[in-house]
Amino acid sequence: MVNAGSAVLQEETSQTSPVSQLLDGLRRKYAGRITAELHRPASPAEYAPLPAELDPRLREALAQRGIQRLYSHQAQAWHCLRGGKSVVVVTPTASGKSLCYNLPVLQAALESGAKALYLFPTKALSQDQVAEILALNQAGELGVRAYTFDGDTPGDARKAVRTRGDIVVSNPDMLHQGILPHHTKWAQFFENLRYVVIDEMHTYRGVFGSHVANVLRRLRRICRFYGSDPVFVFCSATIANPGELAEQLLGEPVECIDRSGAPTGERTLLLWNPPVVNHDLGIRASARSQTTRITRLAMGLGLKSILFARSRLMVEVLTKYLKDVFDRDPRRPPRVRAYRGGYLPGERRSTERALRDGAIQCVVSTSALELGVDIGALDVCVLNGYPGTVAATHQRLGRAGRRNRPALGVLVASSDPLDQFMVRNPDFFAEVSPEHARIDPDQLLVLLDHIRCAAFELSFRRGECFGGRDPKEFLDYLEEEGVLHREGGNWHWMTDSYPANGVSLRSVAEGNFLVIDRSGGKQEIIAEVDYFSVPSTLYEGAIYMIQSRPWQVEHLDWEGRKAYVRETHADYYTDAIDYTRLKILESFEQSPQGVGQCSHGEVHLLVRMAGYKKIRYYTHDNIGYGLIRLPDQEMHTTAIWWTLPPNVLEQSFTNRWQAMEGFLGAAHAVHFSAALLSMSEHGDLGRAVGSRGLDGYISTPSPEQPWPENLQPGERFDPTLFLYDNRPGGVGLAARLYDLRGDVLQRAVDLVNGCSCRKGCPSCIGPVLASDEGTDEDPKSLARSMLALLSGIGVAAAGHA
Amino acid sequence: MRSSGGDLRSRLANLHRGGPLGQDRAAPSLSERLRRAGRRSLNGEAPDDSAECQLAERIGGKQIAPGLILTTERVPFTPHGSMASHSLLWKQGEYPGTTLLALDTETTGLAGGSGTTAFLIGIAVRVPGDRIELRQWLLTRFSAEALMLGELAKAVGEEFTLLSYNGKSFDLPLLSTRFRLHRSADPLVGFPHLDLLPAVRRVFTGSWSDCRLASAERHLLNRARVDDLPGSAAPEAWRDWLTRGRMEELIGVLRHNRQDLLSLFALTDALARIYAGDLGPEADVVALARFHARAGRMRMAMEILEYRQSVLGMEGRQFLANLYKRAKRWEEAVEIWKNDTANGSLKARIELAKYYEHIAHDPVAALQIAADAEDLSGHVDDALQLRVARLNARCNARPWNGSLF
Repeated sequence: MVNAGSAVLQEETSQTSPVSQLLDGLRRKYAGRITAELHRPASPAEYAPLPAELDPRLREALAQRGIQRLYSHQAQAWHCLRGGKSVVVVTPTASGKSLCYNLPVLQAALESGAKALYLFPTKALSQDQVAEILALNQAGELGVRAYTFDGDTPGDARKAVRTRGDIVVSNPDMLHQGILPHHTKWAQFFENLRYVVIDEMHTYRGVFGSHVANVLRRLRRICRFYGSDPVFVFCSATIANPGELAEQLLGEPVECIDRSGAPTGERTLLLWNPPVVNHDLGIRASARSQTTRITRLAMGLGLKSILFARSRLMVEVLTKYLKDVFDRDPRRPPRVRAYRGGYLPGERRSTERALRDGAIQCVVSTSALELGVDIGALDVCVLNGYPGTVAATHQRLGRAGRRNRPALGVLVASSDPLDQFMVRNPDFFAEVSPEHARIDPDQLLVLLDHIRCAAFELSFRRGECFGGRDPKEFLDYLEEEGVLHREGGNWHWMTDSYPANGVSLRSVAEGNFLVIDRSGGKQEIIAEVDYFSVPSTLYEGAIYMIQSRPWQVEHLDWEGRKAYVRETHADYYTDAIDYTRLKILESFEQSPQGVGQCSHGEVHLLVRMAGYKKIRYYTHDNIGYGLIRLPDQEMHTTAIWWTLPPNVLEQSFTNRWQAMEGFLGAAHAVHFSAALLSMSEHGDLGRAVGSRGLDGYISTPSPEQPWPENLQPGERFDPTLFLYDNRPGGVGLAARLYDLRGDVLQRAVDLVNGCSCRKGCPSCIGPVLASDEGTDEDPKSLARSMLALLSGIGVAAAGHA
Repeated sequence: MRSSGGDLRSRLANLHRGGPLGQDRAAPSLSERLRRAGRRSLNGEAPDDSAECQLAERIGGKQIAPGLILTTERVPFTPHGSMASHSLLWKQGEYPGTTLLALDTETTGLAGGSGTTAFLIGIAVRVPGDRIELRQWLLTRFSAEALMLGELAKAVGEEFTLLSYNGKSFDLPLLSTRFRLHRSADPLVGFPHLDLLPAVRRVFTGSWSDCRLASAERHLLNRARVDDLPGSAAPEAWRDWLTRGRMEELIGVLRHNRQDLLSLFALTDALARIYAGDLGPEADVVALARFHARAGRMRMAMEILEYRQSVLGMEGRQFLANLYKRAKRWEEAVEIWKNDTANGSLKARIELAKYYEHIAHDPVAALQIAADAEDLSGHVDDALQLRVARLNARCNARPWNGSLF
């Protein structure tokens, strides 16, 4: 660095920035583990002047916060919105997205007292948003009132929110159950509603998105009643089809703004495969050990880091390992903190604040920090395992990176096939595009639910449209059911019920559990856990961790929704073992397809917590088991399934292992195509592959126990692929897929045939490992043969062994 | 897409039951089963105009427009006390003294929200000559709702005090919603409102199993209803009328509503007497005294407590002592505190310490009492610690050593 010219000096400084130092160190020491390096160069800012008509008070508020000009996308949003055009803004994290809507909203509030409704998918995001508006408000003494309105808003404050709020911040569930059915109390608000802001739009997909689209139809119907026609602002993380999704949610054309004017620093992404530790068995070191090592190096260089883990348990374990290194001295403030769902809001707020203020150096999180919670900018992002989708990967990596400074992301692969595929095929990873978000607002049962809710809110008039179609058929049905009463040209609500309470937008419900600490005779609530996480985290004997401090569950009061815990000093953590079983209750219809049969009907799904393992820290030895005594989690839903006769399999495949491999590969492709055709999310459809046992339940094969070795004596070998509707009662996906069964298999065949991979990849039949690639085995053609049998398509073309 | 074919019912049935359209199936379809259940055809037809006239005749009312029947009635009324005592049910200075307008609605449900309609609105006022003039508008079709609301707006007058049972949280918001849906102004908004439910709850919630209007009638008016239809059956009665033309239950609802309205006046008188101190054993004296004290009627509060002093519990006695303290009737206050201190009350002991320190100006006595209190209290009490320290400083430069000398 001595005697260098200024240009060289600058370059060297950037080369020796802590991020570059870390990168160089990693490259030097661990070259063998880095399977690829992906770079994205820095991009400069594109600015636009502040709009001339901007209210001087707003101009002042911006100046106070150091903003003299806008990024190009902010200016573009301003012009569209002022012109009454709805927009969707798709730009990266920390690109000043919220100014895109805050500016026009505040301007309209100042100009004419116009109101705005902000919808966020979670409460945490709402509170963030209010804080940001308040800051602007204070800076410019604007006098604009922004309030959150959600389940936590106290009863006595609700009236003030309704009548005095200029900006009301809420969520779709609250709009659906708390606001629209009581719209008369909000009359003033709706009369003056000018903007509706829908942030984190990419989360409104699949069945949830279909519900939200209908809630927006209801919202616009109510607005029409009050004579307003608000403009919509959608904001989204990167997905393949933001414009399309926004238009489907709104039912109208939407302008897509996807060119960010915000500057970004250079980014490097390392794909990291843990080293092989046992060459004979091909066992690799754990992702966990690699993740902590990389994070430790980053922290040692003073870099602010975020670490994403895929489960809540893994967040706690990683936090403990990092705290053991960095937070050993209890007198000093902690440098590492955990962040996940289940923590009390106060705990989460304090972590967010500490991150923004730079008080902590590393945060370990689940997807909870994937959304736009404001935590300031960070330098390094480490992913402990592939998040499962391209969009989520980008979203998480976007957490690292400050303006004009280099950022580093590291994706550490676990031993999952999908993870291994990704790090071993960097070209695939670099080229694959983010996922499409699909919704089907006209899905029959979803639509019926919302027409019911809409009829409660306002009587339907003959000829009135809902979502661009005449709902007469639905109204007649509801009349026949005794829900509505038709008189003249109007359908009136007639029952003593509140329909919105019977319709849940998401498949989460049933009430949260409180975790109560009774160490030392106290009774203190230390966490709140959602219903679905309880069986796997709060069983009696479980070690429950918060900021990696262990508590042991002493008693779980299932009915009372409480878990009583006591602080403990265990040197182990616990991990639940569960299994899922599925049983056909009734087959509504079946028809031959290919050489097998396709059916749809009702199934019973059962998730049982069998027991738990005690795992010692660091060594990860299994030091004991415990039993879990909990009611089975049951779900009654609808499904579609395909069955092949066992003798066909025996004729078509040389051995059972091949048959199983082919079936699993085909299942992957069919699942993918079914989600696509039913416009649902992958997770809206569950998949099970197995053979029907004596008790009617499906037993699933595994590499250790392939078919039919895993069958009990006397059980029929009856290979079946199930796709079930992943919501209690189902939303009608199975029947729809049954109608489309030909297309589903055709699309799956096309998918596999059209995929350019050699022996299989996550885009077609699921990840295929290099070990397979090197051998004669060809999972792709096995899957192709299986699809040919299932569908009867291209039998001749499918040349199999 | 294939699923767009066929009528909705069979598509819906298809989702759950399966079966391609038009194909014969062993199990009956949903619509078939509904037809067999005969929810519409078995029990008569939806009402027509002549059925409405018949209904109007049965209830002694008049069809003032298609879909709307009005009944008017004058009922003699025996007052149970003077109107003046009604002011005791209000906070001081808030008693409006205008005509009481009793209001009660029957609705299509209790769920709330914009899907709930009032199909019957009853109002009643006391007119000179000790009579009650009662009016009920009964909706016999949805379409006359706007008209009914308009009639109500015309009838209520310009100056009145609303009288209801749970009207503040149920009937009024509901009517407000209905007016809003018909884009007209709510004529009831902004008027003083005497809701008897909170007044009853305040005094009887601890001793009655529930505070419903029928219970209040039974306990306070000694009146049991015969043949009464429970209020919750009203939605069903109206639905039966709309879909099948059944009248009997609906007539029962009208009778029930009329009885509710009449009871409101009698109950107001009865409650006013209770609030004036004419208390039965069931009444919560302390709660009533607290209400009067908050309403600015200290004397009334004191008198009620004194009257029942012999049976007051610790809470009541301390409240009375507190009232004495505010009235600077020290002797009476100190007597209660001393008594309660002897019975182990920490609060009374602290009050006594305060009295000796600030009123009797006897820091030594105050210190002894406060120090005892500190010993007796099971937990750390910052205020108490401060008091002891301060008194210590005043009594003696040396720290308190446990004895006075």
